[in-house]
Amino acid sequence: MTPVFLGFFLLLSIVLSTAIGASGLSLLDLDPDTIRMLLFDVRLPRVLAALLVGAGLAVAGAAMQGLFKNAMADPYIIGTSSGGALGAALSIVFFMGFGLPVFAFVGATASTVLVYFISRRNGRVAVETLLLSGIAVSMFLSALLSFIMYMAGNSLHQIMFWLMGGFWNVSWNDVWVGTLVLPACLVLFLCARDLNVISIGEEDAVHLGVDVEKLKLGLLLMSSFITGIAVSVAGSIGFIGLIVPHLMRILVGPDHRVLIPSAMMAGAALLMWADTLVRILPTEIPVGIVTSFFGAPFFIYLLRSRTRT
Amino acid sequence: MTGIMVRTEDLGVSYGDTRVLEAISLAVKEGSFIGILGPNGCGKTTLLRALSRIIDPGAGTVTIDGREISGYSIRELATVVGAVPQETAVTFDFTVEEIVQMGRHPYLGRLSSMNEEDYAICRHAMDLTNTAYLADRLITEISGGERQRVLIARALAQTPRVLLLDEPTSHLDISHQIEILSIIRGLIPQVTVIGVFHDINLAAYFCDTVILMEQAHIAAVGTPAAVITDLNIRAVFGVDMIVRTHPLTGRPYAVPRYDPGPPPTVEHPLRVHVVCGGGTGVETLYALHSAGHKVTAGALSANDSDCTTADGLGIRVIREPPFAPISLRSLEEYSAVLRTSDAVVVTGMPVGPGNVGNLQELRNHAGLTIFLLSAGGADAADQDYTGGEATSILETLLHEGAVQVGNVSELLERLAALRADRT
Repeated sequence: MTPVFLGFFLLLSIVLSTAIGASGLSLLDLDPDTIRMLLFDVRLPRVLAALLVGAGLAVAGAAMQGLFKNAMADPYIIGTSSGGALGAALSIVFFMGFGLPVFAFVGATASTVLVYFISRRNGRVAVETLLLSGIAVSMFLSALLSFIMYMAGNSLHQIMFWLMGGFWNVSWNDVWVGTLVLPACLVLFLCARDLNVISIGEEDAVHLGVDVEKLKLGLLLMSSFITGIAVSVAGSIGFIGLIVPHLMRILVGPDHRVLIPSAMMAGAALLMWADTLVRILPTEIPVGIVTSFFGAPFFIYLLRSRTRT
Repeated sequence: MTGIMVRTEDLGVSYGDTRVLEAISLAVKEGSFIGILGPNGCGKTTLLRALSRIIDPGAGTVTIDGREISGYSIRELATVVGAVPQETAVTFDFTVEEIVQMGRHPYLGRLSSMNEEDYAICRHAMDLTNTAYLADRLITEISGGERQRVLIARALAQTPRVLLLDEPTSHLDISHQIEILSIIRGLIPQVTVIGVFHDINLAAYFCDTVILMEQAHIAAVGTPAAVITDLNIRAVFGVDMIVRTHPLTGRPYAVPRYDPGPPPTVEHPLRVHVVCGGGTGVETLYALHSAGHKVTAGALSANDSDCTTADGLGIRVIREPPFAPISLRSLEEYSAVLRTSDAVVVTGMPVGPGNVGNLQELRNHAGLTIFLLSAGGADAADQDYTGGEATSILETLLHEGAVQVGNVSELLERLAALRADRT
């Protein structure tokens, strides 16, 4: 029931948020060409990019929470965001922002791969080690980032703006890049039953016929790919990947066959509306501020009032 | 097929430099229930983990159903071998039914979903384990016993031919332990079960064969009666146990001796003789011995449990062969002991023609300090199988100054007072 409702809500949201804008003008006052330009070249790509990034982050978050058996995990848990941020900062400082999305993507995925190989021993990766090496690598990369920001001078504002994440200058090209998250989401969806089993425990999963090492590698690859794409399109947007899967688990239960599609649609709708809110504010602010500003208190509320349906 | 379901040959596992299993060779017959016993850290759980391929053995081979385990894919192995873990901490709120249906995971393709047969297998597994009524409950909200039954149902949904148990009941109370092991016992002989046990007596009762492990090796294999002996247990666990045959099942059972050590040396101990029988003297003998008194007992039949206790405590017993009446020789010995005793305790024992002589003899020793210990709640007359003779002797003794005491601690107080008078 919930997934169907979410689907309708998402479609409605696409139409509504495309129709809402900051131009301050009624659509009826403008000539058709301007309307077309405004809708299809400015608003629609931005709406779709938010949709894809939101969907991807929520699915990657759901997968990481299942893998780590921890509802506090998010797509950035193993160093993805700090890697992406470092890549972006390098691009801004040394290449005036040239190739920033590529730098961000490479930084995000490379840090995940680094964490994976640090944690690997005798062909096996313990999730606890993965978590801890993720924290260690994140801290190391954050130190580098802080150093670069300290030395950045004039570029500091640009780095800060990017770090908070946003969709202020997305184009159709970003949308096309963003669509890459869809096949990765599909792969994660096809692993839904394996995710159910591994979220019970790794040894249980082996007993139930899951090749856990292969699964772990696959889950990490797919979710860091999704996160890398999301980071390269919109910077590191917080809380979507943490809150949406958490919220959906309360609504639809922990079965990833339902949870993943639900989280995907809810994440898409949530980020789309957050970005719409950002667009109609008098001064445009990074959408990452909005998601964290509303996300954190809501998350605290969830923690305090966690009741099961 | 040879009828051997699980075979290991020279199996060895090391964690770093520590050898956890060394040269383990086993052959488990199809349809049997094998229990693995051993002290903590002896490698029994590791053996189980090697059988289910959670860990790869460094040396040797594991063969299941005639095929080497490395020849199975992980998914394929899960259709042959199921496992019930010691305990599972589930983070997410899956329902019981969802957990049980995970047992079908190895049978389902990535794109396929459960068919009628899969559902029927899960329902059957839940019926067998009495978990059907829990289907819609959350796994995080049921009791430990229920959760363990659900995990057994999940393993059964795999329709395995081999079931591995890692102390599946060690967190449960005794009634749930018996319930769950009975369910598992009921799976024999369709399923071959190999389980690690903490509780010697549960393994002794439920298993056909017991493997006793010690420091990465197998110390003994065989029937429970052959393996669970006081010698083996002392050698492996380093604990002195009393091993007996269970009166109802004929299986061995073991209880710790709880050796109290030598009794305290008391100045001027009393010489106390205990007239007992049928187990009524156990508590008294132990208490008097521990209090430092010089205790004797008898006459007792050699198969009386009071005699066993006295022997275990090193108390001198005047004894007769089983089922024999008290002989003249014993009666003389008894009489001699009574003459040198400071006090005599008569427990609320059953008295029949075979041991009434013990009471009759007391009447020949005037001036003896006699304590009559009440038969815990039971009327003395109920214990009289002599047609009233025993009761009348006891009444006469009371009349002549014997003291009635209600329980063992009161008896100890009386004896302490008596000793204080003597010194």
